[in-house]
Amino acid sequence: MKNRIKNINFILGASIICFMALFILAGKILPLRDPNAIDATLKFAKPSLAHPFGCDNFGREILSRVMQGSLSTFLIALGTVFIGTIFGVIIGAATGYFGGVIDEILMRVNDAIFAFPSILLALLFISLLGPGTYQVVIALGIAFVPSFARIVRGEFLKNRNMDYVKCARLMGASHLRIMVIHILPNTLRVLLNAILIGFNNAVLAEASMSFLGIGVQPPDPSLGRMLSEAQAYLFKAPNYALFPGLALILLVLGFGLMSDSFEK
Amino acid sequence: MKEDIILEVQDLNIEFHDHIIPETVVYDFDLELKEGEIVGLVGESGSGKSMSALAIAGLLSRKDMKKRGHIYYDGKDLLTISRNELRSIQGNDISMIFQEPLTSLNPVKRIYDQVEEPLRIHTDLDKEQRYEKVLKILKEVDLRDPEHVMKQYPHELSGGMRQRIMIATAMIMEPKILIADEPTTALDVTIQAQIVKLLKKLNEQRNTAIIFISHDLSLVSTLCRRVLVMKDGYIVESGPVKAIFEDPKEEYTKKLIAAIPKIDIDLGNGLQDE
Amino acid sequence: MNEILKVKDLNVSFKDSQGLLFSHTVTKHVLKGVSFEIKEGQILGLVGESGSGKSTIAKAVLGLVPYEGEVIMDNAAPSMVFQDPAGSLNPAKRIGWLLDEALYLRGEKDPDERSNKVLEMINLVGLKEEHLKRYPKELSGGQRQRVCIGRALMSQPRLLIADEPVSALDVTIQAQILELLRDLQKKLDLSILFISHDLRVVYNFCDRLIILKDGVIVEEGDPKVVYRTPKDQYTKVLLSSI
Repeated sequence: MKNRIKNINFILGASIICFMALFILAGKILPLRDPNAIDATLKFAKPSLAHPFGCDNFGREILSRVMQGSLSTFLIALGTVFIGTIFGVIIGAATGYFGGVIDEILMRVNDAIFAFPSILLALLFISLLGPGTYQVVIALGIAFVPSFARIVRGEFLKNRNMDYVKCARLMGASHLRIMVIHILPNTLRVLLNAILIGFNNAVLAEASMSFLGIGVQPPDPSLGRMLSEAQAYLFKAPNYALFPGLALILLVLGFGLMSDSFEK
Repeated sequence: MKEDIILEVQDLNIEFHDHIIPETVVYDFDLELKEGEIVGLVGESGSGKSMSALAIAGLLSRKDMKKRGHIYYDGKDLLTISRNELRSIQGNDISMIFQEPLTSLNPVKRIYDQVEEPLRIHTDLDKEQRYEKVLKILKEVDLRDPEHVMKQYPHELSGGMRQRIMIATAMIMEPKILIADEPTTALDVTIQAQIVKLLKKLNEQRNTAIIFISHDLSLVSTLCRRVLVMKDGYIVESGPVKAIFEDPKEEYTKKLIAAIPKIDIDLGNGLQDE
Repeated sequence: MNEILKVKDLNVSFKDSQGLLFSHTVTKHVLKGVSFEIKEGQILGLVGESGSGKSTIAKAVLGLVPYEGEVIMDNAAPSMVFQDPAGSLNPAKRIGWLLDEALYLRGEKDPDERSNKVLEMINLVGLKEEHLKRYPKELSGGQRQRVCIGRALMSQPRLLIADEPVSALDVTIQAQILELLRDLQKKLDLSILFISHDLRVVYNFCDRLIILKDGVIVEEGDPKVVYRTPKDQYTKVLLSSI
């Protein structure tokens, strides 16, 4: 029974993500209006056949902006998780496997980074790097490293004392081989789950940063930016906030459901 | 029910519903336990021996045993009586000890508190009376220096001592039935022999019936007079130990006996002739 | 008959810090002057209770712990089989891969030759070709231990160290694994250092017996003789416990 529920979770989550992927792809393929094209005559146009999601305060097409915004939010989240995973796995594997002084030093640094909320940390990096899409990816990526490192370290710590590692060692396998070929595949289940949860956090973190105005720079759209801009017109044009919000919810829900299905 | 039979299990079936297809782990388990009797329950891993014991101890969910069957104790069916009644029997009249004494004991509580706990739950003795009882039972399980052991934590004791503490906790309410699930498997041989001796002593002094579960047929033969052999959820053979050893009927029992490494000399084993 | 392994005056000690606030290091002597030898084709039983130091002997022979004294061996490195076959096999890899790796790590480059050897070995330990495609969790405990033994023999060792290889198994399976080890010992002319706490198993399985207590050998000899006429008090206690 439980297995079946988890499967349903996975299928549901994967379908939502597929839907969002198609939605984003459609924005690239369909001959829609340029997301940044301004048209004063269409200011706050209500949703209609010609403009399915309506238009914003500059008369820009909300549909194409949500499509474009979802893409940039998605890509930023992807980049963030990528950086977080790569460095997290390297640091976590090294500290968990070797232990000792390396472990002490790296994990204390990790603790220090971990002590700050990731948004605050990212803000700090942004103030050093300056605002912009790539800077956001790097800043968020660094902020995400500690949580991945911690998870991977725990798994390596658990596995390093298992007999199968001893056996490989006795047969003459190198440390690198044991780490990459023997232990890493055994951490995949946990790691995959962490990646999906991390993806969610990254989507939300990007939205928060753009909402604060330090993420994607105008006029380019991102879901967070659009929400932030729509805030002022919440009553005048609720559709302006509704659609980017909906896209954000779907992205988070999709990955959330998928990660649920990986939990034991 | 006959006079001296204290526990009667009839047609017990245990089914787990974790998967879409229910999985039966015990089929038609029957057992009659006489007062003061030691019965051995032998089988390999997955034979259902531990599950049957958990069922008797009331530690399984009732929905896993609703197919059919009864567990009669004191004229009451443990599978249908109210939860409160069951709880008063659990730990009071029927208690259980497990294979791994370290995980069965709470690591952050002193030995005294753990041994005393059943008294707090089931009786209204005052502090001094409880202390006297705990001291008495700790002496009875042959612990050296019980006053000192009381103040210690589980991790400070050896495996054998921990198992003695578990036995003390199980015996403090003077149960009618003690279920011992592989109580010696995790212990060294010399300690194993001591624990088996202790169980035998308690059985004789207090007339407690014991259901002794083990995968070790030779160990069972030193302690029990009657034995049930289980395989894949079925009782395949049962009867007096001697008869089963000398003339096993089932192919599986023969295999089990053949698997015991034979030592062709008399070691003057002190346990066998007791 | 030549000696395969000769251990002379082996001493192993660990430093352990005690006390929470004002810790002081205490040196724990695990092995105190242990000497023994294993001859070609011999099965030596090493018996002791937990904490007696029997597993430490294995670790010292394999060079996994620092020791004082002499460990003289044939140039071929010994292989090892552990107690828990489930833990000894990487759960993420197939049986075939696990056996193949033992050869790969020895520097055998030709994949065809390797797969032939793997096939030969899986048959030798009483399993079938189809088992090669399975994951460890799809095998029974006894089958897993067969795989562990097969993997240990891949390097064609002269000495196999088996640390409680049957303790985690059911009795009927125990008998099968012991039979397999006996069989392999004869076929391959192996020497086996058989570590166990079970005196009943050792009696029939081993050619020679060492009884270890608190890091010291208290008794040594032919099991049949030792069991009949134990000299040491501890041996007598052990024997009266079975």
